[in-house]
Amino acid sequence: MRADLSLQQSPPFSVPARFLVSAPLFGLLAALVLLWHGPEIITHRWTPEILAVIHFLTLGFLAMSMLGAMMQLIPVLMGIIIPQPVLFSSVIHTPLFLGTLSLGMAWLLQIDQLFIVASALLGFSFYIFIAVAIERLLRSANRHATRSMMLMALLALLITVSLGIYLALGYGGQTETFSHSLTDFHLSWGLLGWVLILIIAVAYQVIPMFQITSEYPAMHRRWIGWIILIAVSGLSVEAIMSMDAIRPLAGMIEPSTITAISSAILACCLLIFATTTLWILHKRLRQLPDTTMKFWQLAMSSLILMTSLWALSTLFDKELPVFLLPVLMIHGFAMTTINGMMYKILPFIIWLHLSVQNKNLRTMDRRESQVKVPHIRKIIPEAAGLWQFRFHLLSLILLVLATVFPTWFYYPAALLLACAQAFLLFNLLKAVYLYNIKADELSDAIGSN
Amino acid sequence: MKIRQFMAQDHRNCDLFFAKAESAAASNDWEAATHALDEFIHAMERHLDIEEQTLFPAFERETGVLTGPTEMMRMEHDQMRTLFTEMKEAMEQQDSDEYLGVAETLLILMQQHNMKEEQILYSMMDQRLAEDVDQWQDKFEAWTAVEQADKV
Repeated sequence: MRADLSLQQSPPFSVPARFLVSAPLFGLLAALVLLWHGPEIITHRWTPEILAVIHFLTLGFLAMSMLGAMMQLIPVLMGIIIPQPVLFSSVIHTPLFLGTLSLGMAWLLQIDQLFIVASALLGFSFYIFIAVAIERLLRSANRHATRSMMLMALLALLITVSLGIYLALGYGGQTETFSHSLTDFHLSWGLLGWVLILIIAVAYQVIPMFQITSEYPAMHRRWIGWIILIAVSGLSVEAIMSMDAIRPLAGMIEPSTITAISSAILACCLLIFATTTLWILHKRLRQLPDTTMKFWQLAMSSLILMTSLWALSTLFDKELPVFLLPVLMIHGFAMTTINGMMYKILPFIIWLHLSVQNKNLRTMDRRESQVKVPHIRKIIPEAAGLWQFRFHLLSLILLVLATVFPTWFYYPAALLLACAQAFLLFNLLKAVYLYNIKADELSDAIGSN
Repeated sequence: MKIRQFMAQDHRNCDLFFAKAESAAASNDWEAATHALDEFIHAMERHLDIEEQTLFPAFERETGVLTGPTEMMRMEHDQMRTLFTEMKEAMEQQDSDEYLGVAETLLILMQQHNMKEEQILYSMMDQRLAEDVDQWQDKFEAWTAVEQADKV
């Protein structure tokens, strides 16, 4: 038996909490930047302001919460501890937080040196996290598809981060200047590799378990991660071919054919994943209204809409509004999924930590000092989650409309995004506040023994 | 049949009772809800007993590890039992919101517990206790027989 096998309950509360609470802060910041600058920033694809907004969302909201969730999941589900979890999470969280801020500020304030600062901070945070997480996962005795898909997602993250740093240093004047094909390369590894594969990996675990549905089909679980990984690599061929060093090889294969085949395969994977998820949710045994499930349904609907628009525009060779697909992918699919999962993860972790402390009192024979540990729906009430969902849904609809009719919908969309993110932040902070009060009561009771 | 298969299937059976009690409580059908909750707790206690009385001690004897994963699993069983009591109290008071909140807390605790067992611990048991495979088959049959007798 592996000596370091540990089916521990949870790392300390502050480990995942700092990541989860930081995420909507960046969501809110992104909305404020949109409000500050006005609709002209979405007329061209690569305005510095929109790059700042996109990175506040992808690094500040998505990567932030995904890393936090992995810090929680790796020890708990993979049966393998991360040593010094509080120290480790600070070493990852602080540079990720400051690096994301610096990157956004570098674009917004046009300070080239900040790109170098951001690259150093983000590189430090991500490379350490990736190295530790891969090493830990390789030692895990867990053989569920989630483990191998987490490894694939980390590989995709490694590529995304490396390309991102190269591109950022380009802004900082350290490497070749900006390249469109490298940007597409960075974007596809980030969104279709890292984000998509990790969300699918987590969905395999949480949807059948928490909604009491049937399992995803075995073929689906076994192959989808690999197929997506290969297809995303296929998308990169064109970018690689455009590099000077590889140019002599270019005549051997037709990169655009590979791109077309890879895109078709990816579109099929996205549709299969989204429709399977909607189907098993529809057939679930728990016939109870559930806010997190509404978030899943919205996320899958966004994914289907995005893929269909992508496929149709490619087939009929039509230009789509520049930000339509990114809004559906980043906000509609990824942020929606994570927002929904936060409403399960955070209250449960709070309940777990409080009930362990409460049990300590019981074993100390101090039953009279025990506090009533609130159940998860008292920590974040369903109604609070549901209202925030409505704001989030409305912000998505308005953001989609704003990509088509910016003059009419830009400001309402930015305003609603700000409201939805502020509401999420409020719900999470209120839960953390409740935890602090109860934890203080419990430690006072233990201290007075 | 392997330990993992048998016990994972038993988890799914418990889930069915859980869902039944939850939807009855949500629609304020307290008679059906109380009955389904009794069935659920009965199925769960039987499952936890099999682990605590038979599987965990066998695994602990084989590996010599007493304070590792089985200890953590026993602690989670205790947490579940505390929630069973709270669910029963809410059911007696016919307090739908309280019941659904406690039940959902239990659902998450129970499912993350099940994931750890199904994805790691049971597979290890299948490896470490493989020599006694015939004995396990007999035990599975005996447990199933007791369950069916209970239903009658």
